[in-house]
Amino acid sequence: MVLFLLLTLLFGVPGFAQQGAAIERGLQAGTGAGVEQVLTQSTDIAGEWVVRNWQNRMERSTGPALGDYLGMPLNEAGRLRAETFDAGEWSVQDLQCRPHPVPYQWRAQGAMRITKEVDPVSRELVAYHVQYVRSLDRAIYMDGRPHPPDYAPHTWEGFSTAHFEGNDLVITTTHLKESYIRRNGPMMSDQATATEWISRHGDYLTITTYIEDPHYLEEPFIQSVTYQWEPHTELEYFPCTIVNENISDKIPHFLPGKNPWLKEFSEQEGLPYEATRGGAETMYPEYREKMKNMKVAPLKPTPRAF
Amino acid sequence: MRITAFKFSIALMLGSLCSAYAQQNPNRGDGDLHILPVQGNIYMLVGAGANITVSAGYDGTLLVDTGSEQMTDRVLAAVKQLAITVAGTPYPPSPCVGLRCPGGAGSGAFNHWGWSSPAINTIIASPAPVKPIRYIINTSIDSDHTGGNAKIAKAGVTFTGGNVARGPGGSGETAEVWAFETVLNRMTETKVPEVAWPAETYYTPSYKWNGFFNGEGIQLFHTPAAHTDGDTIVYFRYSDVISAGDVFSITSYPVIDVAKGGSIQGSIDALNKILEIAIPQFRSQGGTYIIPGHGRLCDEGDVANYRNMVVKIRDRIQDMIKNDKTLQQIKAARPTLDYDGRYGSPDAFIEAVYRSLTQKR
Repeated sequence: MVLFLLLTLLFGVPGFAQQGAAIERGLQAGTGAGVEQVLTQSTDIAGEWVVRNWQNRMERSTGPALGDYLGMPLNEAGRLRAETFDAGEWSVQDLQCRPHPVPYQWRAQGAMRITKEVDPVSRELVAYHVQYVRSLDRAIYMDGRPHPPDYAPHTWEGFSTAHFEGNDLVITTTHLKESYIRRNGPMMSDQATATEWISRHGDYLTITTYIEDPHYLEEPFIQSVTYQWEPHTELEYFPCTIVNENISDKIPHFLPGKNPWLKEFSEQEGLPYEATRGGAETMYPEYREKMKNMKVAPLKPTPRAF
Repeated sequence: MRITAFKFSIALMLGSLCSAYAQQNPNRGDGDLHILPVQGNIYMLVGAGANITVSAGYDGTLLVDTGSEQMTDRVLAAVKQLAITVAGTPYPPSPCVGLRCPGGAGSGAFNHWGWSSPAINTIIASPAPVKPIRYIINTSIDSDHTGGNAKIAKAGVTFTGGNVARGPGGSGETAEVWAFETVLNRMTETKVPEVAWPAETYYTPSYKWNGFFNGEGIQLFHTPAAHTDGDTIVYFRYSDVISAGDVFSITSYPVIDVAKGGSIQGSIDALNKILEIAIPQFRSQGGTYIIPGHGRLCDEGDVANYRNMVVKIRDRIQDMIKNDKTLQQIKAARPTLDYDGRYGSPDAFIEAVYRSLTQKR
């Protein structure tokens, strides 16, 4: 009996220690590598999270440059919509308190909280609720309910259902309102749909968003963003007060072809203006070859705020 | 939450008449009628031509618009079923069973009397018949809004008083049909049969309903020279729902009937009037709901987006007119390119805006 116990300890402890070491190494490296094996059996995304600005930092903090649509699969209508956008539109009272929409809200700065709605008796997961600093409570239903009919209201957060595929939560969202997919003018229509994948790697979430829009996009617009678990973060109330900012009764916008700021980005960065108009082909590496034959305006370096 | 659950159950109970409420992305060309509980007393009836707004309750039923003529029988059947479900169906004395009942088992969602509840009488005896359709309000003269007037008015009966039977025909009265005065004028001019006329009219910028109906005040607002010269938006003050008619239809560009007195500026003013009344619950969303003439249920954010679109296109066409462009040149310049995919063919809209902006005042 004693011999059996000794043998068990001899062969069992190293196995446990190896797994623990793998997790430890993953956590130290900040990648979460090694943790997946443990989490696969019980993946959960609930908790307090903070966004990490590792992707598209300039776009997401100071904001994207006016006229920069590089890598965005805008079609002709989407491009015109973006080019006629005037940021003064935010001064219109009816839209001053418009929150970040799904799926753009993942890219906003600040904290995010995911809570679980659980049936108290069956203990089944009914929904996840996602709250961000600048947005609304977003329910992601896990109970198999269907999406509403097409005559039901659309919202900034849309109507989301989801299921797990292995370690990934796959979310399908419909019933979105017309809103922006980037802060410098590109829009999605209220017919757009979003698919999102949330992959947990230990203390990190990788969130991949995939927007399809029959009206403004030539191809799906795909982006990703990283969050880190941060149990000490706070999700504060984020009020919005409507104020009289608009000095006229007009809706701010530029007439087609009259936006004076569209070339600023290409001239500052030494890029062909044509490339900054976006389009599906600008998403792919092969486009660099095409850019070599494009005309580039003289560089006009201008200090940026960031 | 309990009210929401109740309304959802109403939607499900209507399944025999209407296709399933929770069906995923049904095609609206399916020929079916669908009822969406909005909030308070108000329901949205979809699929009968223009959207029909229904106020159903203990005073009876009030309809905003009556849909197209060929759908009338089905509209009547759906409205009757809705009225029975809302006002004529007995509630069980204790509709909530189990651990999660508020206040413990036995205290119901709709009453707190248990076995002494008056509701028990409606279970053991025959419930009273539901009240009839009392009023119809037309938001415009269009046939997809007024097509059911004659038959639906005849199936209803307004408040009569006196010792008469309460059913249709008992008093010789029908449901009252209301509209802005010019709707009646145009119907008489165009020889619409008298039975379909809005015999009751108002001619002031706004009109307060003569008393509460189903427990709430109702206001009519005339929006001059918008879709036509006879448009009305209807505001249910307790339910906090606006029935907008065709001054706001989210399925297309604004339909501006210049020949009937419509104009682009009036259309923008009408949208701004809706925005003036509507108060969002939080962050440009929810709160006051707006039932459009056509298309899905909306709120302030949707109307604001739509208004912005209309103003932008008006500005573009106005700029082209200023630069001496002809109508053909304006159409060729595609001033609506960024919205055509969403709102469809722009020709009639561009023509209406052009005519509206160039006609002599």
